[in-house]
Amino acid sequence: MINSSAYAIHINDTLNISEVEIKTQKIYFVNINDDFDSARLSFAQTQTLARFLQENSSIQFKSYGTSGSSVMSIRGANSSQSKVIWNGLSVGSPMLNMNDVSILSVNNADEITLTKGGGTASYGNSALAGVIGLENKPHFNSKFISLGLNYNSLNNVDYSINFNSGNKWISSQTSINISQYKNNYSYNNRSELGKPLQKQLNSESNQIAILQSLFYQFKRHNLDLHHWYQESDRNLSPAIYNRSRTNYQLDKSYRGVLNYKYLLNNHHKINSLIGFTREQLRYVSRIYTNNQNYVLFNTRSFFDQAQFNLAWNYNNKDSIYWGNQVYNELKFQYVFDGAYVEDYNQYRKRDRVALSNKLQYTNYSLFFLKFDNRLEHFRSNFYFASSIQMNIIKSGVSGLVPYMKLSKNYNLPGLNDLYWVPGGNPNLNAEKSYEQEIGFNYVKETRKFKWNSSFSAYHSLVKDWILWQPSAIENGIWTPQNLVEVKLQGLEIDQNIAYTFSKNQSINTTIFYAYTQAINNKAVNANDQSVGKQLIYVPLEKMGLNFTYQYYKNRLNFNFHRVSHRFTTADHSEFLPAYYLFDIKYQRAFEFNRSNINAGVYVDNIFNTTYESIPFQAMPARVFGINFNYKLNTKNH
Amino acid sequence: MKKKLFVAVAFGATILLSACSKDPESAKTTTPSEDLFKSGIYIVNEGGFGMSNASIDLYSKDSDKVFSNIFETVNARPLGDVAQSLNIINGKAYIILNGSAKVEVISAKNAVSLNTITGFSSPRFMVNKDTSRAYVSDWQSNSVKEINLTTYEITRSINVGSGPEGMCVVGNKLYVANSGGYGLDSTISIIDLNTNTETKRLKVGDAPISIAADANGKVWVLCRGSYGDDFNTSEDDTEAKFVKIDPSTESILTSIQIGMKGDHPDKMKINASKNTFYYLSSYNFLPGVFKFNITDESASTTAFISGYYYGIGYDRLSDELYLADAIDFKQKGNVYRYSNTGELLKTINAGIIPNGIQEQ
Repeated sequence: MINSSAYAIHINDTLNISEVEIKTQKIYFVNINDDFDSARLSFAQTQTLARFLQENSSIQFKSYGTSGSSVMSIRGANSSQSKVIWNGLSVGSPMLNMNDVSILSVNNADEITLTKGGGTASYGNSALAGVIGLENKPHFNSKFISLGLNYNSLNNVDYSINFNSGNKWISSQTSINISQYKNNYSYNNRSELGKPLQKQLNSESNQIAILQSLFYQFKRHNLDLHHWYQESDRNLSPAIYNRSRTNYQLDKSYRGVLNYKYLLNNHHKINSLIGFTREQLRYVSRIYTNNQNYVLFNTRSFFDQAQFNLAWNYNNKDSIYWGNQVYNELKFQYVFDGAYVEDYNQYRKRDRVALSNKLQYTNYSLFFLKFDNRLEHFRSNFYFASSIQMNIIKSGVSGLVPYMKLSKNYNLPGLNDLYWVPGGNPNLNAEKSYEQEIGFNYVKETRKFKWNSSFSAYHSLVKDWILWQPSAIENGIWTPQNLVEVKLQGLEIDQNIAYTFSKNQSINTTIFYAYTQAINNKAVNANDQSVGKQLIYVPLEKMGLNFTYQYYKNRLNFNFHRVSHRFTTADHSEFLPAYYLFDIKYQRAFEFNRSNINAGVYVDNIFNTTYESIPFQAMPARVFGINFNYKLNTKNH
Repeated sequence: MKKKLFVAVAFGATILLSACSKDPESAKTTTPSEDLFKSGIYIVNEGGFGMSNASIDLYSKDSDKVFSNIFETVNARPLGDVAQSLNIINGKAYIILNGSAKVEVISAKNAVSLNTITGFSSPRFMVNKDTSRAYVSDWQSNSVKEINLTTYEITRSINVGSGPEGMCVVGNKLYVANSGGYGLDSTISIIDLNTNTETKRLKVGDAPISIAADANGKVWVLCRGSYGDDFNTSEDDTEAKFVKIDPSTESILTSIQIGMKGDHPDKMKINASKNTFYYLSSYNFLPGVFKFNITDESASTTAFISGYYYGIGYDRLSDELYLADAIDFKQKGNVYRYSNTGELLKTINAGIIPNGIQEQ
């Protein structure tokens, strides 16, 4: 199988610093062609996915303080219009129809991919704006143990331990990641006269994630089984204008995926997946006043999600490197969502059945063509998503690869949208999008030099955008309605240059830039001043630069990213100002027999920038930290 | 060389592009003179929940000007989160901030901050007994807090029913509407202000939300009615009603149904003569402002002014009605000034989520 994005994308599996090898994740951006180099990733092992992507991609995150939730916006779309998938299983909550990426760690997967915009039809509901894929990969014929430690001046500690054991047939991996955060920092409280320096309150958190993956391969059979248990116990930092309010959140989740592939012959393959999720959430909001704790909310909820996929793949070629190739995938999917929230008064559930087809034709000296279609049945209605993509291909290592995409997609309302009491609206329609995108990838590669560049321009219209508002007829009860039409359009540019001076000396620089217009097209009433204006919290511009210099076993990394101002009111009367964040990191590698050690120091937010992602949620200033990784290889063929 | 130059230009262009956008300029605000304060109307703008962008505007009818966000302009700090209501007592304005769980006290003649009262869970409304004593309904703690207006301290907490909202003082009694909070309550609490104890809990109707005394000294309670277990049907709702109470006997005199099942009024104001109520409701799901005279034997089925409004206020000095339009609740709204005959006199640009007004 060939992925359309494979052209001009260099994927790092391992990083070699002289003789030292550091296991790291593969992360790449489909069609955006931003190759995450291993230098950045090796420093990001203990970072949350939200923070890593905030610093290294055009995705924008809204973070409710250091310990609070983070939700993402891809290309200006809202958080319910993007999807996170772990080993083929949807991770998001069917209640909120969104993902809290603050509790996902970079360390949770071996490979992380981001697919933006159209062409996400086959991923199913919520994939309207983009998909983040998390994959655990096998390490056959390999045995190692690795330990990791990270400590910083917020009094935050991360521990990790990974066991990997594999022979020719079986690969087993277990990882345990523990985070204990005090989030001990101070900020100038702008809500009080004189902006006094005050200590952040109530932001301690503990998290444990245990992942186990078992891979089996024998002749025509491939089987992988994944378990993921995670518990996140968080005090949520209060808004700075009301420090007596203390919120708490407990998330417990189990996810399991069984994936079986059977190769019928060299051209046909059967692929099936069974996945299950149960996630429990408890949210308590308290206010402490006059020596008394008042509970504002104390809600418990849980959701179940079961997923079954059965796919048939056809590939006319044994090899993908020449001639013409036809690839076809036909997939049946059944998804069950069930949720209980105390406010629902009952267990709410929904079934979804979908058929999807992916048809690709590749002529390796001319072009690539892909059709992606999905038909889904939900609540007596059929929903159809479709996309077509074409790439012009130029053979060879270097070259220009232009592409274009047209797509139509949908996003079904979440269970809270439908059933929340009071206010749920069972008559909601799905959000619908129509997108066009053009762009190119360009690669120039010589023995010492590699330049990887990409450009994309997109335009999308999202209709029936769901908006919660007080109901006119129920006097103030908030209810979701298909009120808005939004135009999303923009440009994205990514540049990566790697230059190797000698065996022991190299540089790697990546720059990304995103210009995003997310414009409201439709007035909710005659006085609405938001028409033609940028949506709240969507920055018009975001850019980042990452530079790594490697000299023998030393590596110096410099990262900065800039987020332009974000309006916080629809009429643009209020905004959060633009901010820049600079981080610097140094790492030194050591090797003893079969042991690899990496030790590093870092300073985040080196210029002590004051910034907010959500108004009145204080973020940390300068942070000093150290990290240490030890890896013992006991077998490596 | 050309290739290297091209690469360098591509990099440079990318960096330059990133520096294009500048932060917008913040809106300039001005402070009104003390003369304008004297004749001004305070507009209470809730602000978005959790956004801490509540504000108070001063609308000067004399100069026909609006002075936005006067608290922050004068005091160089934001007002707080969710301004629920404002009361003027003895030359001081008390701004009740639900989300910030505090009451900001400012001078009514220049908006200079005088004090901040804390110790609430979720304060909603305030009434005063006299110039030294006031009461604040504290929704979450199911209590009413007594405030010493000289020391700006909470001096007492009096337990009432669940989710206390509107209040009024008649004689030496405090009447508190127990809305039910997240659940359902159907009572009002009657508190003896001599002993500061709840002496009676009177069942009136589902979800009492607003309360006021009329020209005859009778107490009127607006009961919103229950939404029922199923929000998507009005079949299991209970009807809204006006309930008239005789303070001398603390018993119900009249109970008048408002609208149909599914019509749930929740805000009301009384006019200067204290004989007419204006309330936000709907009839047969058509929203509007309705009018009810204390002598009426049934509630009107025709809106006095049609349309959906989020807030209502009444200028008792000019006998004028103010209606607030929050638009999409994410932008600055409008306040409409109406004569008591329903003629639109003025559209006033207000702050984020305007919910009412208070005359000086």
